[in-house]
Amino acid sequence: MTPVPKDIPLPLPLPEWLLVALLVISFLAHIVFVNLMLGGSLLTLWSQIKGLRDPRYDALAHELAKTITVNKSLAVVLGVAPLLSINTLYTIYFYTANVLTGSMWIAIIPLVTAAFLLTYLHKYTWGALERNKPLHIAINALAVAMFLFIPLIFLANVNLMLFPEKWGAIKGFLSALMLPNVFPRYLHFLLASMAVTGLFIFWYFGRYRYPFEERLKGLRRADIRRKGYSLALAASIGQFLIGPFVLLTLPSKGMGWNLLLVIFSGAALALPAMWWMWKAITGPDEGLDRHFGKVVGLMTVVVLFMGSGRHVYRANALEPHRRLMAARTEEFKRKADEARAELAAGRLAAAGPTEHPGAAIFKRNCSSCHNTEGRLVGPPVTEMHEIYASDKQALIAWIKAPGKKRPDYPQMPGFPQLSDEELDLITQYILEIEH
Amino acid sequence: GALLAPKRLRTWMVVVPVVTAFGFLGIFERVREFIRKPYIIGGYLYSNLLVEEDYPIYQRDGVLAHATYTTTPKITESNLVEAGRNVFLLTCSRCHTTHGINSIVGVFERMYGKGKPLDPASMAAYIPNMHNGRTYMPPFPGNAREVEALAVYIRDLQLTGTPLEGAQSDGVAVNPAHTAAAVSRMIIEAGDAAPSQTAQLQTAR
Repeated sequence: MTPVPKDIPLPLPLPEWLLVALLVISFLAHIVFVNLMLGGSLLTLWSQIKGLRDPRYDALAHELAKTITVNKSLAVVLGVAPLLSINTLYTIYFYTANVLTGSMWIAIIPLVTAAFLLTYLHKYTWGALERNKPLHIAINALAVAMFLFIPLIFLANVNLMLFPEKWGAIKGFLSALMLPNVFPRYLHFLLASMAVTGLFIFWYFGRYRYPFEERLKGLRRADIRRKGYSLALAASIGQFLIGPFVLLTLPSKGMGWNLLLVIFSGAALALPAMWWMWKAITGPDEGLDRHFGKVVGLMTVVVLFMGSGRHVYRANALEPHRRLMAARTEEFKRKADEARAELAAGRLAAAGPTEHPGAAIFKRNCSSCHNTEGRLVGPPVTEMHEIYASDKQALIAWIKAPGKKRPDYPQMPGFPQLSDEELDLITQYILEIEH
Repeated sequence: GALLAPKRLRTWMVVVPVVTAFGFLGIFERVREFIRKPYIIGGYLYSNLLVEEDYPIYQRDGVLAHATYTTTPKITESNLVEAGRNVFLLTCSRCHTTHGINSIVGVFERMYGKGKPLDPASMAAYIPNMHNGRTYMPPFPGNAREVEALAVYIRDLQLTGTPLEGAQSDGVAVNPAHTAAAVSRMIIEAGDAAPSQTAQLQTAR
């Protein structure tokens, strides 16, 4: 059974198209730095393991490790805008998915914190753990494992939010993880991380100001850059296999010609970029930089198309359900208006009380804890009668600000909000009426 | 000091301000927590996440009727404890656990005394009025039948010690009145849908 929750009955704070643009663009900025964080830490691990036999690569690993902490900070900070945007645009969908995956969703915070602390520890103990490489590498490996796991939590959530028909069927994070098509999307994300990181390495170690020869003795700048470029190219070729896999395993409800157009256009635009990368890699050292600007420009456009396609799928998938949700919300508002009107009319039509006016006020405020006879929470009215028969003012003072006379009774809350007239009526009722 | 004479900086000179800053933050947060109650958004949204202006319909129909996820849309004699549990989930579980921190059993035992079974009739009389005495409590949003069920459930909690799991382990049960099928039927009956929209909605499960 597909649930149709009530939506929040408030208008969006910004025009929807603007929120969508903010969402897509800020998400892409965030995910690029997540890619760099993940790819960077994987490459650092690879390089450090290779560095056990070849110390030049240990130095490379150290240089790479210095970039991870910067990229992860940017990734986290840039995550705020897409999180807020998606919560505004798709509140019920996103929140429901979060609740259904429960503690695993919340676990993102301690996991990310731990992973960050480990990357800092890894970076700053390079010298101290010089003689204990296994431990040093293990610290990085643990951080890498977390960086590999955390995206699965995000993916399970952003996937689950698209399928209200599944909300009644799953039980917790693991069953959400198994829904289509989380794992194809995850592979797509991993390859993208390697592609982006490859381009980053090409740029980072190519910078004129970067003292490559001083820091990485024994390695050639052009060789390392070629390796980065090759990684980007290889990962992009892999995307041409994984991409169709993702497209084919996407649940059909979000399919549409608009989606296919955006995705295929984006994929097509990657081809010239890959051609230029190939030319640079197989060409001479002097020609390495020739097409880089165009490659980055084109790949940025590709990423924009893919990010938009992602949103197009989401919009397609949720369109019918959003209309149902709007209908239910509308219907509820109509019925709630009716009930409010009924209540107002009911209040006006209420017959005058035939009992003492203090009785109604007593019933509302006091009778939940005070019976006429016998202890309920506090002492009964009969005892109040005994204690305060001669001193009505003392009773009024007590009601406004009670002290504590009976150690085995709970503390009575004060009622400073009652007016003098109400207090007068209540105390009349307590003291003067025969019970 | 730190700018002009960094060498004179001792660890305690940094640690003390940091701890103090967190202390101030903590005090601020605690005060804010107290003054916001019974609301989350003052004058609009109560701590139970129900909008104040929706109270008339909830107190008339009950919260269960309008809940998207519940195993007991209607209360009967045979599902009283389960209905009470569902009411607890919807109206109390934001702030009260069953047996842990701020537990509902503990709150009532402190009021009525420990060592004896809680009395559903007393609790059912107390709950609709508690917001008058304890002003940090939002008013109870359900109807009279739901108060009864809730009171029976609380006593059952006290006597059996049954834990209450959440959606992340138990999943959710969709209220038949609020499925896609039910909502699309409602749209069709209201005659609002254009013919092509009707066809589209009829295929929704």
